[in-house]
Formats: sequence, C-alpha cells, structure tokens
Amino acid sequence: MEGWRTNRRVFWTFFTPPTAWLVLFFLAPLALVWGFSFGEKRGLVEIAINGTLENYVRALDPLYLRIFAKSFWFAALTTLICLAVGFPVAIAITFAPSRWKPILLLLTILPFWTNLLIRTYALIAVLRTRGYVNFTAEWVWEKTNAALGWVGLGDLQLVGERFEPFQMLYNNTAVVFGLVYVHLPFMVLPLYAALDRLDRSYLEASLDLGAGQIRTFASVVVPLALPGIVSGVIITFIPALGSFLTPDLLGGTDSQMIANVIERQFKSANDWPFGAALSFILMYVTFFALALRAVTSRGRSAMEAA
Amino acid sequence: MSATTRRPPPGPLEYGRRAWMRLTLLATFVFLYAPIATLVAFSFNDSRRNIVWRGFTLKYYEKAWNNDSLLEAFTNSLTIAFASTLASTVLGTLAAVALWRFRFPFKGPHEAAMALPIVIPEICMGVAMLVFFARIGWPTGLPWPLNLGAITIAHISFSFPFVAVVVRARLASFNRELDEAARDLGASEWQAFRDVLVPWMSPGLVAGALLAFTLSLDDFVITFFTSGPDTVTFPVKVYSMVRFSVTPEVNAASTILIAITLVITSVALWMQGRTAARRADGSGGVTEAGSADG
Amino acid sequence: MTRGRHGIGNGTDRGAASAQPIIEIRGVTKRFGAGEPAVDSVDLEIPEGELFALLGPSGCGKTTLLRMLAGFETPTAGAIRIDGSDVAGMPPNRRPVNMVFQSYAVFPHMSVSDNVAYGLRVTGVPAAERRERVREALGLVRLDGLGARKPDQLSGGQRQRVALARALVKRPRVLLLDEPLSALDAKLREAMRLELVNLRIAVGITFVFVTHDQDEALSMADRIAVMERGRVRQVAEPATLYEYPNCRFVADFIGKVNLFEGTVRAAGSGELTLEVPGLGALRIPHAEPVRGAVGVAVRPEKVRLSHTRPDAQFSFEATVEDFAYYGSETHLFLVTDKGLRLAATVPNSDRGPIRIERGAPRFVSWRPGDTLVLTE
Repeated sequence: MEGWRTNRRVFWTFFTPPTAWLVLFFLAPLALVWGFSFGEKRGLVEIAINGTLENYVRALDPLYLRIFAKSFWFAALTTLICLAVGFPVAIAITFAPSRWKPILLLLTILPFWTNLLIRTYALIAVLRTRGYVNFTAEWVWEKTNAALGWVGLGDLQLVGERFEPFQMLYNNTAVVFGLVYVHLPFMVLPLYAALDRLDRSYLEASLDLGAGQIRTFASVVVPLALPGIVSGVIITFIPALGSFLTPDLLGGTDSQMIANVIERQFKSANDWPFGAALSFILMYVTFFALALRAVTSRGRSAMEAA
Repeated sequence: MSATTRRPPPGPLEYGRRAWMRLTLLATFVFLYAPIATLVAFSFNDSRRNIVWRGFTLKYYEKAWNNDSLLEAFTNSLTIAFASTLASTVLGTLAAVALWRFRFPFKGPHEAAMALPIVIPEICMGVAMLVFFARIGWPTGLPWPLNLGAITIAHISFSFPFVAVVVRARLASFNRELDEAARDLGASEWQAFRDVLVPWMSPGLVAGALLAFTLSLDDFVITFFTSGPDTVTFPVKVYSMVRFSVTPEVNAASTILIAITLVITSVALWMQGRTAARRADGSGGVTEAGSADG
Repeated sequence: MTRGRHGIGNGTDRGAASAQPIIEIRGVTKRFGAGEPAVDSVDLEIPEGELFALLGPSGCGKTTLLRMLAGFETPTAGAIRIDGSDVAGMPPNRRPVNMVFQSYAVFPHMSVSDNVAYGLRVTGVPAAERRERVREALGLVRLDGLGARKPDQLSGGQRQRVALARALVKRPRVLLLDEPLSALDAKLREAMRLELVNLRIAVGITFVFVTHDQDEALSMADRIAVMERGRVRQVAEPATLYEYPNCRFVADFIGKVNLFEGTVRAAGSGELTLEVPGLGALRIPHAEPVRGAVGVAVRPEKVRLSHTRPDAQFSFEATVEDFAYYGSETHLFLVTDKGLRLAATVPNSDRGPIRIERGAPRFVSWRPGDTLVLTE
C-alpha cells in the first residue's frame, strides 16, 4: 500500500467521486435526521432544531419502552431459534461430501437473493386462513370425515362439526416465524464459515483421546467456532431488531416493532423529530452490537497470532 | 445383500451421512423453499382458491401483463435498477481501488462511513432519504424517467458500498507484482491500470454489478420512503396489492421477479466458479511475494 | 568446471581502471517509517556483464535494494546511477532495467506471446518488429511454439521462462531477478541455475539477482554481496567469500563453520598467536597484525580426524558425541577433553561400512593456514 502523497493525481481521481457521493447522499441525510432528533415540531412541516432532548425522553415512555422490549424479545427469540436450527444445518453442510457442498450452500444462499417482500408474501399465501396450509388441512378434514362416515362413525363428528381454519397469521407467533424464515441464512453462513475453517484434526484428536461426540462438540467445536457463533448471532440479531416488513405484514395490532413505530412517525403521525430520535436510538443499538462483534473478532485474531 | 457391497456405516466425522443430520437439512430446506415453491406452482394453477390442481394456465401472467399499473411499476423498477447498477459499479470500484491502494489520513473512519449503508437498519436509511429529499426541495412531478431520480440516488447510496466490498475482496488476491511488472515493462500508470488491474477486477466488477442490480430490484423499505404516487416500483406495488388481497396475479408477477433473480444469481455464480477454477491452477498465485524481505 | 565466466565480470581482474560500472550505488539508505533502516548506507559498483548476487537472510534489505534499482522504491538518501546517469525520480517504466519477479508476475489473462509482447506494445514498437522480437525472445528461452498458451497451461519452470523472455525482449542494460529460483522445485532449480548462467552469457548483459540461498549464489554468481540488517558485509567472488570471510556473520552465513572466541596473544612477521579457551594456544600465519578479541573459525571439512596423534602443528583429543550419515559424507559432532564442541565433515570416499562409534576417542587437527581469524 502506498501513501496518498506518492501519486496525488491518481489518489484524487479514485477517492473523490465515491467520497463525495457518500457525504452528499448518505451522511448529509443522516446528519439531517440526527439534527431533527433534537428538534421540535412547529406547525405542519416546520421543525425547529433547538437542541431539546424532549424526543429522547419521550422514547422512555412506558408505551415505547414496551415496544422496545418487545422488539428485543422478538429479535432475541428469532436469533435463538435460528441458532438452534442453524447449527445442525451448518454442521451437516460442513461435513457433507464435497460434491454436495456447493449445492447445499447455494440452497442456503438463494433465499438471500430472493425478494424479501415476495418471501413474506409467500408466507402469507401459505399461512393465511384461506391459504394453502388451511386448504390442505380442510381437504384432509373432508377426507377424514368421509372416511369416518363410510365406516359408520360419521354421526359422532370425531373431527369437529365443521372445519375450523387455523389462525396462523396476524399474531406474535407469526412475526417470529416470519423473522426466522427470513433470517435463517444469516445464521447458517457465518456458522458454516467458522466450522469450515476448523481443522478436522482437532475433532479427531478429541475423539482419539476418548471424548464422545457430544463431549467433543461441547468442549472442542463450540469454543473454536465461538467467533463464528458470535458473528452469526449479531448478524441475525441486528436486521431482526430493525425489521419493518415482517411485523407489518404478518403481525397483529400488538406485534408492532420499533421500525413500525418509526414508520408511523414519518408516514401517518407526522412527528419527524420523535421518529428521528427513535431511528437514532435503533442505530445506536446497532452500533453497540457491531462493536461487540468487532471486540470478539479482535480477540480471535489475537488468539490466532499467538 | 452381502456385507462387501453394502456401504460402510458413516465414519466418526461423516456427519453429513447421519440420518438425523440429513433430516434436519431436508426439513430446513423444505421450510425455506416450500412457501416460495407453492407460490410459484399456484401461479400456474387454473383455479383461484383451491389446493387442488386444476390444470396449467398462463392466464394470470396474461392478466399481470395487462395490468397497466403493475407493468409500469415493473418498468420503473428495471429502469432504476439499471441506472443504479451503472453508477454503483463505477463508484464502488473507484472506492475499492482507493481503499485498497492508498494509505491516507482518517482512513479508518472513512472505511467505517463506507460500511454504514451496509449495516444500518433499512428503516433508518429510509427515513433519512425521506427527510433529505423533502427538505432540500427535490423537484417532484418531473417527466419520466427523471422523476425516478430520488429513488435511484437512494439505491446508489446503499448499493455502491456493497460493490466496493466485493471488488475489494477480489483485489485482495491481486498480486501486486503484476502491476509492477507492467510498469517495469514500460507501461504508464494508466496503461497498467487498464491492461492489468481492470482485467483482474473484472469478475469482481460483474459480481458487484449483479449484486447492485438485485439489491435495487429487491429493495422495498428504502424505496417505500422515497417513492411518490407516480413513482411506484414493483415491490411497492406488490406491497399495496398484498395488503389488499392475495391473488394468483401477484403470484405470477412475483414468479417473474424470482426468475429474474435466479438468472442473475446463476450468472454470478457461474462467473465466480469460472474464475475460481482458473485460479485453482495458480497462475498469478503468489500474493505475499516480496513482502518477506525489505 | 570452466564456463569461461570468471574472466568476464570479475571486478578484481579488471581493477579500478576498467570502464565505468553499469550500476553505481553510492551511500544509499532506505527507511520505512521509524526504526532501523531497511537499507543502510550501501555502496556498490557492478561492472557491465557481471552476474551479481545480493545474498542475505530474509529481512536483510536485499529485495529493497533491488526494487530501488527497478524504481519501485525511492532511496531515502544516496544516489543510484545506471549506465552513467542518475535515476533519481525516474519512474520504473523509463529505466533501462527490467525485472523478473519472484512470483514471475506473468499476466494470467494474456497468452505467452501477449505477455512477451506487452512491454513492446505499451512503448509503441511496430507490430511487425514486435512479432519478430517476440519470436526471437521465445527462442532464446526455448519456448518456441508455446506462444499461444495461457499461463495456467504452463509449468512453473515455463512460467519463469516467460518472465525471462518478457524482460529480455525489452533489451535492458541490466536484468534484475528477485529470488528467481525460489518458486521452483528442487530438481528444476538445479537445472535452472546452469540455464540462467548460460543465458547471461548468451545475451551478454548484466544480471543482478537476489537470493537467500547461499548455494545458489555460490554456484551462479561472478561476485556476491552479502547483506545483513541493511548493510553490505562483504563483496567478493564466491571462493573468496567462502575461504576468506571478513566477519563472523559471513563466515557463519556461508557454509558451516566451527566458531570459537579467542584473543590475540602476539602478532608479527606474518604470524599470530591466538589463545582459544578449550584449545589452548594456536600459531597461525596471518598477514595483518590484529589485536584483542577475535573470532577463530575453521570449516568442518578442513578438520581432520585420526586414531593416532598426527604430526600437525596443533591437534586435540576429542570424543565422538554424535554422527549423522549423509551418503556422500558423514558429519561428526565432537567434544574435546576441555568440553569444547566442534563439527567435522568426512567424505565417505571408501565404499565399505562406516566405522564410527559414539564415545570413541579421536585426534582432531587442521592446517594452521585453514584457520580463519575474524575481527568483526
């Protein structure tokens, strides 16, 4: 790497356009929102930035604290389920025959590339009361009923008088289900990366020294894959926490997450300063999580250097 | 079956051959793909509601095609994606080369700022764009395609850092001696860039461009905050339709979008596979050459 | 083996009266940030037509020095003259030197011909001349007919030839080679040594190569500069370097050596009397009168062993502590009655079984003239 002074003309040619774009069309908008978070609404569109902390204080209102808590809870639960499901999946991919590995990885990555909205929509189409799961269930119910009638038990109405579709949408369970559905690849990929880097002779050494499979997993695999686990947890948690679409489309009236509240401040409630403050609180939480990840990965590189 | 022809039981580390592992994998992929597969399959079903297959039809595709507002949204999305991809690829590549090649003051903060669009929650970026374009008095009501300017700018802002990451990853494996060799043989700074660095980066450029394209095509949240009534993109249109009802027509439109994404992904992976195969042969392989001494 | 090379580029033969050297390095220092300089006030002169080696352990600054010749690094202080003109501020693409890189840096996206033609194309050599020169250069490195191949269809040795052809086609005044053989496997390396030497004779220009491998430097170079921590410790022909090292570092770096610390007891009339703890007093012929503490060294192959006390001027009793059989020779590790350890190498010139036992007493001796006295 060379110093920028060694070739100023080349440096400025490459440096200026992206930097200018970043400052103008990304940092400036963020700064504007940041400024508004210390502002006060005066009239329909007028906002005075007067350095007030009012908006941040308002975010501490129990009403909003509850929403923050719920968002955390949803995100944490999602992360936990993804970890529980993702670990076996990552192990299975890591130790799959090399001919299968790229295909399995591709199958894991592909949903990433599929539109989030369409995936959420697919869930709705499958899970709603008039969706495919319920259609299937109804069909099974009809056949069962017919079969029962055929054997002369039809009058007992063993499977209910009429088919009651499952209510699987517009509640908290649906939100977490949707979040897991969307974020599972976020967990599997870093776990896979960590496990794939793991030298197999560590596992063989552990087995050779007399530890069983479970013991080997607990005392060799998990500690060595820990940076990958932390990475996966944080990479899953951050977007889950800031989710807008999933709670919006799959959730009920009490499934609101922070992003939905922020959206409302800008789109319907028209309270930009408060929305700006909420948005920056969400951003600070994100930065904190990222800092956590940076610290753990630094620990790892120090370990590797030793 | 004799013992000699039977496959041996899985070895201690052959987790991939254990039954419960396979089941987990299968269940996960069913979970991930069943909804999408169902959606795609029933976009061809000649029935509005039933689970029962009533025969193959393309009538919902025809309907989607004849839906003017859906088609307009689709055109808008593609237009934005093309413009955004072009700009993002250029900006991202410039940024990648600058960060890869030079040391400069405040490089750490610069890199962090460049990573921000990748890491901050979409909703935060969405509201920032909404506030920004509202406050600076960005002109509205311009003729097409200029009215898509705000959305395109927002898309470039979150796409080009991704391109920069992809291109920089490619640059990391560049053997600097190749550039020095070109200079040593008499090439000027610009000739060496054109003849050696650009060909080396090209798989990264293609991968980055394809990534930028899908990112733009897929984005809902940020677009949702920057689009107006006459600048509706495909995801925004689907969103309003989904809120309304689930129809095979939306299934058909979604299937087309999934197909586009699939094609782009395959192209990207095919290109990656090709360069990986070439690199496995190790032509320009020694990356840390010359660093041991001096 | 006479290859007629020691006469061509031998600095001592030509003496100070020879023509202007092709490369002149005057007081060159290179610092990367704070700390010790990577290259520390180096002075070197390389006459035209020499095969010159920069030898040293990794991190000694040899590659940095080579890269300053090529123009990829700028000296912090000092001056470099190539073919009589100061090259300060001259970018690499304008210097009359070309380089063969350690990784060969053969452009992976260009065919062999395009690689070789590249340097001519960017400097505007007409197509017809270009074709002719590329053909010639490929012939020179015996790659005729492989011009259409892509680098990934070549072996490591062939890629090196492409790199050589690509540099030589530019007709440089000096060819710089950075660890030219390090990327090849052992067998090929041996063969390429001879080829490089012969290629140098064929094209008749100066070659400067960097290596960390003493065998490579000794077997190929007309002259060698041994570097350590940024400084040139000794510049000499291979045999001089091996038989008359001027310091402990060179003695130890080139070949194997038994090195003891001693003191000069008396000096005069072409003789030194040395006192080495564990060996006693040694009287050896030595031209320069030196004083004080010195390093006293002897090469293992100069050490003789016998069962009976030899007539040599000085000999010691020692027992065999350990030995290792190497096929062509056997290495013995001995310890004298005063506890001093030394190594000896004995050629296995007779076919029969080797009769060496651990703990067996031997007499150790060497000719006084084989003793090295190292003041630094």
